[in-house]
Amino acid sequence: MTDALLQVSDLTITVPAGEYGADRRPVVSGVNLQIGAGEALGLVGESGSGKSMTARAVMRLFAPGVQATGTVVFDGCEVFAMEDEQLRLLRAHRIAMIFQDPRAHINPVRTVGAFLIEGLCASGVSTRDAERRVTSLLAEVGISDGSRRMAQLPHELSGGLLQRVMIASAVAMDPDLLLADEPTTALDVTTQSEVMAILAQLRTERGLALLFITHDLELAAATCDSTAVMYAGSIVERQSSRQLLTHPYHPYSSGLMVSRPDLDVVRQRLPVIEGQPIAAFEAGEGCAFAPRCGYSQPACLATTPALVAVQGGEVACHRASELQGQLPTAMEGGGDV
Amino acid sequence: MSWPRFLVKRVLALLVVLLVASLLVYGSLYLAPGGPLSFLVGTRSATPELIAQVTAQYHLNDPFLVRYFTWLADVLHGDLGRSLVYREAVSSLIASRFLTTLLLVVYATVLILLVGLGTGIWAALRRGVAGRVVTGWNAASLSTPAFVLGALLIVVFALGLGWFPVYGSGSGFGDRLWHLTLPAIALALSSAAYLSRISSASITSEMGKEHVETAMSRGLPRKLVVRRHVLRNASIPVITVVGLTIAGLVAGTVVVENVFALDGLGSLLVRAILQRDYAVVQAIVLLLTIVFVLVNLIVDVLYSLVDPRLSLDGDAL
Amino acid sequence: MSGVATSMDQSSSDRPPRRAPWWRRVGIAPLCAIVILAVMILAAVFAPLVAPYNPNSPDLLAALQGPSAAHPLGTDALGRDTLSRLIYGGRTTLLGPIVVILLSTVLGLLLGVAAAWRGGSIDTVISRIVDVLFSIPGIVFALVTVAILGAGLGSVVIGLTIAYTPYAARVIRGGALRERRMPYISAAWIQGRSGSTIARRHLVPNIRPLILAQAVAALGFAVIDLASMSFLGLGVQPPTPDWGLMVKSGLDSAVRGQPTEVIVASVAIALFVGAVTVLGDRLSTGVNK
Ligand SMILES: Nc1ncnc2c1ncn2[C@@H]1O[C@H](COP(=O)(O)OP(=O)(O)OP(=O)(O)O)[C@@H](O)[C@H]1O
Ligand code: SF4
Ligand SMILES: [Mg+2]
Repeated sequence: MTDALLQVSDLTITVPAGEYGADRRPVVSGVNLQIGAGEALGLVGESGSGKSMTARAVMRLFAPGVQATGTVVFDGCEVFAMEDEQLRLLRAHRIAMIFQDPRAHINPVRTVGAFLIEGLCASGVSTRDAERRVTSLLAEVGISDGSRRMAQLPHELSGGLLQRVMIASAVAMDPDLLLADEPTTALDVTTQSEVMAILAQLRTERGLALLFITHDLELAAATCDSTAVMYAGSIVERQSSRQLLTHPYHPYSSGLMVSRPDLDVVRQRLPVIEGQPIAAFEAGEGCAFAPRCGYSQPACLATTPALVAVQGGEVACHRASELQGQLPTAMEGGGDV
Repeated sequence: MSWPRFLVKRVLALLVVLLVASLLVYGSLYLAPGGPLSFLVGTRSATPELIAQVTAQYHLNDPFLVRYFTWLADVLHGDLGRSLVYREAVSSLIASRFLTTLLLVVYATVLILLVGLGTGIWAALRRGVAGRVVTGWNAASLSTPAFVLGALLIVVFALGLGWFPVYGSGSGFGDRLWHLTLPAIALALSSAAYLSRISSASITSEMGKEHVETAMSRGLPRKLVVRRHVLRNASIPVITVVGLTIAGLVAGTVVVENVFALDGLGSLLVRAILQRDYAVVQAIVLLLTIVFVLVNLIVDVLYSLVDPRLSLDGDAL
Repeated sequence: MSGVATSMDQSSSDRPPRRAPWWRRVGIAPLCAIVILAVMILAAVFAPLVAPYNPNSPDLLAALQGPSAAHPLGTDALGRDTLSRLIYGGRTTLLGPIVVILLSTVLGLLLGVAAAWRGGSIDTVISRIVDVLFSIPGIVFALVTVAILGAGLGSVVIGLTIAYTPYAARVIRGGALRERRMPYISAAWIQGRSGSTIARRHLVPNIRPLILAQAVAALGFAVIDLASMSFLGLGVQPPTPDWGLMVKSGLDSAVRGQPTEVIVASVAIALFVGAVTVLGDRLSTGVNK
């Protein structure tokens, strides 16, 4: 346990509540995660559940006003306790992040090449060497005319190409851990699978650990060794991916699977989880998912379920043991949630 | 669109503006109550020579458009007519006063860039108390018209503390600068505040951009991120403001030169207006407009150089 | 790094969110601005009732005095009471800009709505004219008008109205174009209302906040421009009391050792412009929300 590459414990993140006053509201509460070297963990949840915040916490990348408590230990070092310079080196060499919207996340007025070599050059590599290295990296991510592309501006490239550029720039520094925050959400379906294939290949070739964030539970499960499901700022279930797909413990995980639009099968009806997702600060006493849960009982509203170990993973649901094996999964098709 | 075509298009647009402006300046003469001749002669004794001179200078016997184009051709040949008050060629009148105004504008521009960009960048990068102090200072500066500030500067620093001369332009370069210090501050302060506001807002918004987050996430030194990603990108809207501000200064000198009794074009213009010396008014107003339009053109060109995304097709008139 | 809320805020966070009191929602600075403007405008309107002296009656024995019980803000070079001149001076100083803004807003509204509403060649022509007017510095219009019509408040008002109309027209055209795409406008078309009726009854009321915000923002600049013209001797003519003129005569008094008048007049102008700016900013954030 302690020798994991990344160990996040009791992570709570708060943001200022309003323009005036010092009120703060939590957006992530009490999250625990761990990723071993070379391992891939999927993090799944609806919009606003706190996935991006959690990923940014790993490299202490917060907007002004955001505060975090708890610990993040990367390779034996406490990230929240680091000196600025130490943190900078961690970001430069050990952990890299890929963002959802490459168009917004790449400086629009500098060339693609300048973006790619920037990290290498800042750590002392000569411009010519850096260019040579990123050209071959671009070839690895499926961009063969790398030198031409590098002279272009971001707006001259398609979203899929830009995301490849982003991936190439992330692995250019040979990090140990890659944080991928919805890397395919902004792309069309074909490009999505190409980008996923590139990620998977780079990961195995380089022994990269991966935190993969997505809305799509089945995509996460297909890509990662294990998958955690987040709801309202907390993790509600974590299991090995294979087991999660067949034996979800939490009604929310099951709901996510069933609601996924399946491209291969044309369904009569597309079940979705009814109701709106909530953020951590909107959750009151009791299970945060209760208002949308088809299995909720009065007891669910009384106390907040804790994340407890179950066979093969962890789950935070009062009725987990009763419901086990009864929750619908993707394989079985639609059901009532 | 290619660069040459872009420039040709912009220069043509500029010529249209100047043509309209000159027509306005020249044509307005005919709106004067009593007609151009009585207006031009004004309260001066209407001696036959004067009437002959005015009639010849303004070609008052020709049809309007002919008169206008003759005048325009003269102007293009550098013949701006003769001043009825100074009995001197307008061009030489202007030439002798041009330097003061130019120095004043350049001095004020330097102050605006230093103070405006300095406080703007400082406020945006420091936030907190620094940000609030700069915000308050800017609000106060923006509320103080140049002539009011000039008067207050004279009262405090020239009359009260005696650090600076009260009036006049001085002689010799160092002395001139010395005399121009208070005027330049009066001219610069509100523009500096505006620039400070815009640059601070631009930097703050750029700091929150996703691509800056990417740069930070890659462990680039903060100074490098600020210089390369924040300041560079934030400078794009700021350039427009700098241009407009400098163009506006040219008009601002009219007021400030009068506060400090400087012998520049602005005070010449006001005196000419009061004395109905219309040839001088026409010439200076045209000059103001030319400078205004030219600065705007330069800004447009700079703008397309700094922002490579901008296509030159943009209709930027 | 941990967020510790102060005890003062704790109590309010327990209660459900409440609508902030009205003065909190308007903001402290805009409220102060409203009070300042109200005092200045009321004083100017009721000047004969408020002013302690006739603003134009000289008293050469009491010339160039500092503040005293008899003259709270001192006297000018001719011994006239500065407070009274300040109160009366508000009339020309404030009325001129208000007229400029009213006229240029009405003209800008006509041009802007016509351009946005008719579109096509009318829009092109109006937009081109506005573009060209924009390329000429505003003060040039005022200077040329004064050169032709002679110095005086009327000339300056005419000149500045021409200078300010393009700004109003451009802002209003933008607002009207945005509004024109709204579904309720097409609904009104379908109901067979005439174009001008829709523009009058639906469009203009809907962009009223925008018009107001732009007018107040321009008012600050108009005050500066008019006062500057008066200071130059091109606007309001002595002996009429006017803040811009008071800065000029006060500056001469200051050279002769009595700076009270110039300071008083300067502060009055800066306060008024500042108050108008604060109010304009508040109004335009309301529009953008
Ligand atoms: N800088 C911020 N200040 C205040 N609140 C924030 C800030 N950033 C995010 N939040 C809030 O924190 C919550 C969690 O945000 P987060 O971006 O982590 O969600 P997410 O799970 O990544 O959602 P998505 O799938 O939409 O990306 C949201 O309710 C969001 O509104
Ligand atoms: S605790 Fe109750 S409400 Fe919450 S998920 Fe489990 S069954 Fe549903
Ligand atoms: Mg996210």
